[in-house]
Amino acid sequence: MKLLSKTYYQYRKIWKTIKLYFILSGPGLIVMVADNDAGGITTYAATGAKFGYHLIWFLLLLIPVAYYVQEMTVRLGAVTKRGHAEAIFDAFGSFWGWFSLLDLILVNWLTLITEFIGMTAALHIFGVPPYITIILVCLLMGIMVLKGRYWTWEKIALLFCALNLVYIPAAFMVHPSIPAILQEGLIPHFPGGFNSTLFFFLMANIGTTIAPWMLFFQQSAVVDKGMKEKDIPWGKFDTLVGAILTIIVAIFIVIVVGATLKGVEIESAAQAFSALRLYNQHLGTMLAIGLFNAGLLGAICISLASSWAFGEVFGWAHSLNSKIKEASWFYTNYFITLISAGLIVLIPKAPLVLITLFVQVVAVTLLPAAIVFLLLLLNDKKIMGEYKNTLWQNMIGTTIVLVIVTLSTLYGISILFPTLFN
Amino acid sequence: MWARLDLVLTKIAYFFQYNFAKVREINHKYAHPRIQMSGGVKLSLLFLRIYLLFLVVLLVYKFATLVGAR
Repeated sequence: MKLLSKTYYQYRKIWKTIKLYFILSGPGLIVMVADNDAGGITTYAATGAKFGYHLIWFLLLLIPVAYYVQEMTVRLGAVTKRGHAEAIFDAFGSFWGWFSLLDLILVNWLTLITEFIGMTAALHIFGVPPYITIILVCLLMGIMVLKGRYWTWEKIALLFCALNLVYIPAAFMVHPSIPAILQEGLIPHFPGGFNSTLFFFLMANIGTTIAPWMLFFQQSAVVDKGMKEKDIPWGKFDTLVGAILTIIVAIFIVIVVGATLKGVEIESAAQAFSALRLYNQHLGTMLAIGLFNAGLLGAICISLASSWAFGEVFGWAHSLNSKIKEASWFYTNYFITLISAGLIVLIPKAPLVLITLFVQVVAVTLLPAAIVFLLLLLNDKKIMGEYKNTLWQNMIGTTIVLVIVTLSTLYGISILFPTLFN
Repeated sequence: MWARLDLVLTKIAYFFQYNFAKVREINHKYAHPRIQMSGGVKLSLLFLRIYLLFLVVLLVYKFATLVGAR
């Protein structure tokens, strides 16, 4: 009898913990999975096509990098109850505040264009014209923010996150060689030596795994969700789950494309998935739907990140819990960002490939600034109190900043001297 | 028609006036950084300025070369 009651008590305790996790999870999971957006899927697909399984080890290294950067935003948001843009203005003054805000708006807008490129290309595989896709996406995203509260929005976004897992069964459908994955993928090495092409791919993978909008988005989401200091451990756990999940999905995309299209020059994920439809129609269809979903999830988060940031700085009401009348500027900003990015894709002969290329590069070159601010903020005792960075967290954070700054600088030099790494 | 145009122009003028005033207000509100300006923070911000300037120059150069080649 005693054993039975003990078991029941344990069951209740575990169930309560799971329920609590589901209540408090969200920002970390959404931001991480949304990170596998249309641009990200394209980058992973291109990596798989170019290098097969050889860069899987590098993707695995990005799990702690993504986690340590993002968990800092959880602590900052929960302690200060301020979004990232407002925190930068407050801590570093208006010069750095405007720099970060305008920077974020530009990068987000360019990224949003790439999401639309991905979504229109994905549905084009099924014969849907681009303008229909753009109208549908704008309507869907409008309904998501106007018809509910933060909680409703978050649950719908989590549903799209679940759809992102489609790449996992897809990888099993192509029957990849497990020994080859373990042998080629898990031992750190540079396939073909360290050259400018490989370097570009490494940069693109970093750029797509950690992006400036993610810092702004997660911190604002933590604030909008109303997380407090006591919720920080859950927020960190949520971020860790998200970091692992996003890299697992990335690895599975590399496996799908690496197993089927290795050596094929691909320019976009849509092109790769279109080619895969010839190999296996169900597989290609699944992946194309996954690409559309990835673009949609990215667009949902990125347009919100911009609106939240503007709202915080300009002092507008900026919560998804507010109605249109209460937060008219917040929603106007959201729709202007969304619709203008969609319209760019419809312009005939717009330099879309150039935009796609530059958005990742601009994001990765601007990322150091965002992380440096984050690191400095997390070290201010007056702002963070007992939640300020520990020595260990600072060592990891500083190492990440140094690696990103070094890679960005090397990339810059490789642009000026293209033959340097050949 | 002229009256309607006048109304639209007035609204646009108000929009800009309001937002410029808001920007001035923000600049005033955040004129003084709240973070403790230790040597490390000052050094980091100085490094960041130089670093970003360097990157912007490189990216502009690359963009100009790419557009020129098209």
